[in-house]
Amino acid sequence: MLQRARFLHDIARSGRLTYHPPWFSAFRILLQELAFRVSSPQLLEIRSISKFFGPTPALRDVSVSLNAGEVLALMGHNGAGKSTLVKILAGTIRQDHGEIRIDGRLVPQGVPAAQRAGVAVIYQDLSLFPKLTVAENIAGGLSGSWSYSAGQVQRKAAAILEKLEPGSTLLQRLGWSVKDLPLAMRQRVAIARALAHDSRILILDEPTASLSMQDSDRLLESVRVLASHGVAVLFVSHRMSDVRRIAGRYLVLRDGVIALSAKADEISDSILTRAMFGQTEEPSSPATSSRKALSPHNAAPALVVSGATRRGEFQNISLSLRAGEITVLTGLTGSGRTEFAESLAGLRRLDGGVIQIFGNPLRHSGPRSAMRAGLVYVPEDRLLTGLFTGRSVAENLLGATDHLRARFGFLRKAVSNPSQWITEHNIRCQGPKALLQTLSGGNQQKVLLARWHMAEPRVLVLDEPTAGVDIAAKAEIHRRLRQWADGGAALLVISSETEEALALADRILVFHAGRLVMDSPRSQISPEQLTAAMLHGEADDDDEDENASRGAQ
Amino acid sequence: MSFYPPTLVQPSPPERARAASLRFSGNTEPFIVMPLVLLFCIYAGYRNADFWSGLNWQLLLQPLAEAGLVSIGMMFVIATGGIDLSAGSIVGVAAVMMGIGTHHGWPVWAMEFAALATGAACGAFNGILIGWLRLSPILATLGTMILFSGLGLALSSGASFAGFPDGLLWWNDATLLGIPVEFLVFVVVIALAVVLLHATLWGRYVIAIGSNHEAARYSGYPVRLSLFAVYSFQGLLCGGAAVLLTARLASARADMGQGLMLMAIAAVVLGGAPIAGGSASVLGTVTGVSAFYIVQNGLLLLGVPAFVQYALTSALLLVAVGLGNLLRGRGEEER
Amino acid sequence: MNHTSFSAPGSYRHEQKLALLLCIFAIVLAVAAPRFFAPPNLAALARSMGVFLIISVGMLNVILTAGIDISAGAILAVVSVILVRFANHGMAAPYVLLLALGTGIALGAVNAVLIAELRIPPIVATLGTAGLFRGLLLEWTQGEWEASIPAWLNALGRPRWGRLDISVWAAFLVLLASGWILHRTQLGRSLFRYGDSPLSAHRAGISARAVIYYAYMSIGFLTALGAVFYAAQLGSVQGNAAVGYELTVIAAVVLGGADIFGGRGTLLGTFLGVLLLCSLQQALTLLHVAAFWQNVATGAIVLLGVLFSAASRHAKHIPSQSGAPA
Repeated sequence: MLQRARFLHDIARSGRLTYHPPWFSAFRILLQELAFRVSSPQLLEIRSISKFFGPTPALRDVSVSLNAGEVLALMGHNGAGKSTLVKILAGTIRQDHGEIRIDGRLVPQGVPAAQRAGVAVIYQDLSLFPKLTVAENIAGGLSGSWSYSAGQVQRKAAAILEKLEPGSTLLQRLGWSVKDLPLAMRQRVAIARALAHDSRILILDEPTASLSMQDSDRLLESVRVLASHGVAVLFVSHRMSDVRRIAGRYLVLRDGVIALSAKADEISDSILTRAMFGQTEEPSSPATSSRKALSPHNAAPALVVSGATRRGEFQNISLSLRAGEITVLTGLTGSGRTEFAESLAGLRRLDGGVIQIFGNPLRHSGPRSAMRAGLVYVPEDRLLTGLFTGRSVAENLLGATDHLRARFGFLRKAVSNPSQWITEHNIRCQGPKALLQTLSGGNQQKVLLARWHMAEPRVLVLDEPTAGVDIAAKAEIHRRLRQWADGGAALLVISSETEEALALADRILVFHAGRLVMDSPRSQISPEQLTAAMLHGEADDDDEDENASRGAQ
Repeated sequence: MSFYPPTLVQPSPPERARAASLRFSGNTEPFIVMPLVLLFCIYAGYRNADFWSGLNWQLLLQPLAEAGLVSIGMMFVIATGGIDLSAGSIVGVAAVMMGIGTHHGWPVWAMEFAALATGAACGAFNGILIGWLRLSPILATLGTMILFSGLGLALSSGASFAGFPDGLLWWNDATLLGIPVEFLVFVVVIALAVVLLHATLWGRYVIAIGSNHEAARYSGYPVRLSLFAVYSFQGLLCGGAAVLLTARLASARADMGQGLMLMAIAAVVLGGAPIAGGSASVLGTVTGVSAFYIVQNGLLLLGVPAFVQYALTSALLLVAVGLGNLLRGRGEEER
Repeated sequence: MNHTSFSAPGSYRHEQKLALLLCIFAIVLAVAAPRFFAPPNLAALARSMGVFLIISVGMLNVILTAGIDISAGAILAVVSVILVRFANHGMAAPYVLLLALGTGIALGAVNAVLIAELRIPPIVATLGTAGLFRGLLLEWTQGEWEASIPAWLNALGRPRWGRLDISVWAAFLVLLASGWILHRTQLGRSLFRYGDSPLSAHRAGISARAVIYYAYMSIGFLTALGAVFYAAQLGSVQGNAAVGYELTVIAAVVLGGADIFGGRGTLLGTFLGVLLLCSLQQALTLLHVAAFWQNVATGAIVLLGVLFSAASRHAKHIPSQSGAPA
C-alpha cells in the first residue's frame, strides 16, 4: 500500500503521467503505437531486393526492416549474399529489383547518396587510406563542399575522437599514417570515420574476425552504446558468441534468400546453424574425441626454446613442442605471440636465447631455412602471405612440394592428382583449374593447409588458422589439425578464441605482456583460469601457478 | 518469428557467378592479335607481291630477332611484377664494349664475350638493387637507365665505332637453309625460355613472385635469388641483342638500343601478360614482337610512311590491350 | 609520442633531408665553383628549371594517383611544333596559345580515356600514346626543323620583371595554383586518396573518373604550357624534341619524395628534386665535366635517392602489435 502511494507520488512529481485507470492507459498506448506505425516509417526498409551477377542470382527477394536503436545480426555461410547486400546498402553496387527506403524516402544509388541518407559502413578490410593520416581518414571527407582545409580536418577529427573515446591515445596520433598503427587502433579509426558523418545506420562487416577477445569486447561495447543512442546497426558476423551478445534480431541468408528471421531470444544456436547450412553441425570440435592422453615424457621434444628474448616484444620464453601434441598459444593482442611465432619461423632475429629443432639450432634467415629444418609457418593473413589468388587451385596445392620432386632444378610431374587432394581435403571448388579467388574463405584456408600437408612438415606453427572462417569449415580444419598431430607432427596454434583453445589443445600456453605466464596441459586448466591468465597475467590460484611452472619442466 | 524452409537447388551460386564473369580469363590478346596480323599479311601480300619474298622476310627476321631477345628477357622481368627500363641502355653499353674491343683489335670471340658479360653484369647490378636491396623495379631501373646510358656515352665519347671484323659480321650475313642465323638464335632462345618457364623450379618461382611476392617468400621460395637471376638473365639477353645489332648495322653507338626497351614492354603486353606480373607466355611474347615487326614491314611495303607505321603499331598495342580488357569484362563494378 | 609518425604525409621528413642535402651541395659548390652563385648563373639555373618544374608539377599529380605518364615528352614536342607552325603561318598570338594549351588538354584527355574507360594500365596506355603522338608528329614534320619563331614568342623566352625569365614566374604561379588545388580542394585530396587505395576511394564515394581525368589532363595542360616556354627558349622546334624527357621528370618527382605507388608527395619535394637535378647539371657544366659523365652523375643521384628513401621506409616501419592500451 505504501509502495503504491510512493509510486504514484513519483509519477505525479515527474510530470510524465497523470494517473488514469489501467484500461485507459493501455488503450492510449495502443492508439499511440498504431499512430506511430502508420505515420512514421521505419528507419531502414529494404523491399524485395534482387541482384543477379550474370544469370546467377546473388540475392532474391530479400526484404528486411530496421529501426533506430536495433541491432540486427546478418548471418549466413560464405557466398550466401551477405556482402552483396551490404554493398547494395552502401551504394557501391546497384540492385536489379527492389528498393531501399530510409525514413520512408527512396535512396538513389551511389555512395554519396547513401552517405547523405545516413548510411555508414565499416568493411572487413576497413577500407582506410593507409598512407594518409589518422585525422585525414576520420574527417577528410566531411566538408560536403568542394573546399578542404587541413586545419579544420584536424579539429574535426579531434572533436569526434573526443566524443567517442575521451582521452584516447589516438588523439595523440592524429598525424600518424594509418599503416603505422596496430590493427585494433586502425579499427577504431574506421569506427570514428563511420560515425563522423552522424550516420544513423551503421553496417559492420565481420568486425571481430581478426580481433582478440579484449578488442572484440571493446568493439561490442561501442556498438551497444551506439545502439542506445538510436543508431540502427546491421552486424554481419560468423561468430555466434559475439552475435549473441549484442543482437536483438537475427537474419539468416542462405544462397541469396532469407532462411530465417527471428528475435534473439526465440531461437537456439542449433536452429541458427541449421538455417545457415541446412544440416546440423556440431559446434564443438570433434578434435576432442581422438585426442590421445600424452604424458609429458612420451616423446623427445621436436622444438625446444630456451630463454628466447626480443627487446620490446617478449622475454625469456622457454617452452617445448612435442610430436603428436597440439599446443595452443593464446593471449591478448600485444602480448607478443605473433612476434614470437615469427621468430620461430626465422622472420625475426632473437636478441637472446636459443631455438632448437630436433636438436639442431635454428638459424634465422627466413622461411627457407626454417622449412629446410622441417618447420613450416602459416601466417595469419592467408591472402597476403599464403595464397596466390590469381592462380588456380592446383597450382596453389602443388606450391610447397615442387622442390621436393625436382631434379637439378627441373620439375617433374606430380605423382598424385590434384583432384584427389581436392576430394580428400573436402575443398569445395569448380575443379583443379578453378581460380583460387572463386573459393570461399574457408575453402581457401583448406587449400593452404592441404598444400602444407603435402610437404609433411614435422613442426607446424599456425597463426589464427580459423580466422574469418565459417563454422563448418572451422570444424573441418580442427579435424585436419588433429590428424596432423596424430600423424606425428608437433603443432603450435595461435588463437584468440578461448573456446577454440580449450577445444583443440593438448597443452595451452598463455602470453601476457611478453612473458609466458601459463604452460599447462589442457586437462588442468579451467576456462576461468585461462581468461584470468590472459587478462591479468596470472592465474587466480597460487597453486595453479606452481602447477604451470612444474608442467613446463 | 518467421522461418522459411529451404527450397533451393543451386549449389553456391555466387561462386558460379564469379567464375562465369571470368569467361575469358587468361591470355586473350594473342588470339586477337594473331588473326588480325594474319589478315593483314594476306592483304599486304595481295597489294605488294614483294611481301612474301624471301629477301623481305630475311630483312624482317633480323631486327625481329634482336627485339625478340630483349622481349623474352623482359617477359621474365614483367612476370615477377617488375619492369626493366634500362634494357635499351644495357644494349648500348654492351655494343660500346664491342666497339672498344674492335678498336683494340680483340679477337671476335672476345668481343662477343665482352658484350655478353657486360650485359650480364649490368643486369646483375639491377638484380642486386631489386632482388637484394629490395628497391622498386621501376625506380631502380630508371636510375640505372640513366646511369648506363651515361656510362655508354662516356666510354664511347659519344662517337660511334666501325670497322668490325668479318667474324662478327658473320652473324648478320650467314643463313642456314635460307633462314638468317640471327633468327635461329632467337628460336633457340625461345626454346630455352619455354623450358625455363614451364619445366624448371625457377619458372615456378618467377610466376609465384609476380603473383604474390609475400606468399612466395612465406612459401619458402628463394625470392631474392630468383629476382637476381631474372634481371641478370635479362641483361645477358640484352648483351646478345647487342651482338646481333652491331653485326647487322656494322657499327656501335651508345644510343643504339634506344627504342628496344619500349618495344619489348609493348611486345610482352601485347602478348597478353599483365603488367603487374604473375603470368607469362612465351607464345604471347613472340606473337607480340612478331606482330609489331610484321605490321611495320607490311606497312613499309604498302608505301605507308615510316612514321605513320610507328604510330599505327602503337595504336595496335592500345587496341589489343583495350579489347582484351573489354572481353575480360574488366569494366565491371566492384565485386 | 606527440609528433607525427615517420612516414606520415605531414611530416615532411624526406623534404627536410633533401633540403639538407642541397645545403651541403651548395657548400661544396661554394668551395669548388664559386662562380655558381654569380647572378647570371643563378638566372640561367632558374631558366633551366622553369619548364622542367612546370611539367614536374603535372607529373606529380599523375604519380599521386599511382599512375605514370610516359607520353609527356611526345606531348611536349607535338604542342611546340603546333605552336610554332601556326604562329609562323600568321595566326594571332592569343589564338595560337589557346590552340596549344587546348591541344595539350586534348592529348591528356586521350590518355585519361584509355586509362579510365578502357582500364588500360597507365604505363601501357601512355607508352602507346607516346608512340602514337610521336609517330604522327614526325610524319607531319617529316623530320624537319622549324628554325624560326615569331618575335612575340621569342619575347616569352626572355627575362622580364627582374633577371628572371617569364617561365620562372609562370612556374611559380603553377606551383601556387597546384598547391591550392592539392591542399585546399576535395578534388586535390581525392588524388591522394585514390592513389593510396583505389578500392577505399571507390567505397568512400570518390569518382575514379574525376581523379584520372584531372590528373592526365592537368599534365597535358602543363606540358603544353611548358612547351610554349620550351619553344620560346630554344628558338626552334623539331619532331624529335624531348625524347626521354618524361623519364627525367619522373626522376625529379621521385627524388622529391613522392611515392611511385601513389598517395604521397609534396610540391615542395618536387621543387627540391627539380632544383637538385638542374643545379647538378649546371654545376657539372661549370666544372667542365663532359656531358656524358653528367648522365652518369644524374643516374647515380637518382639511385642514391631511391636507395635512401627505401632505407628510411624500411627502418622506421614495423608497427608492433603492442600499441598502447587506450
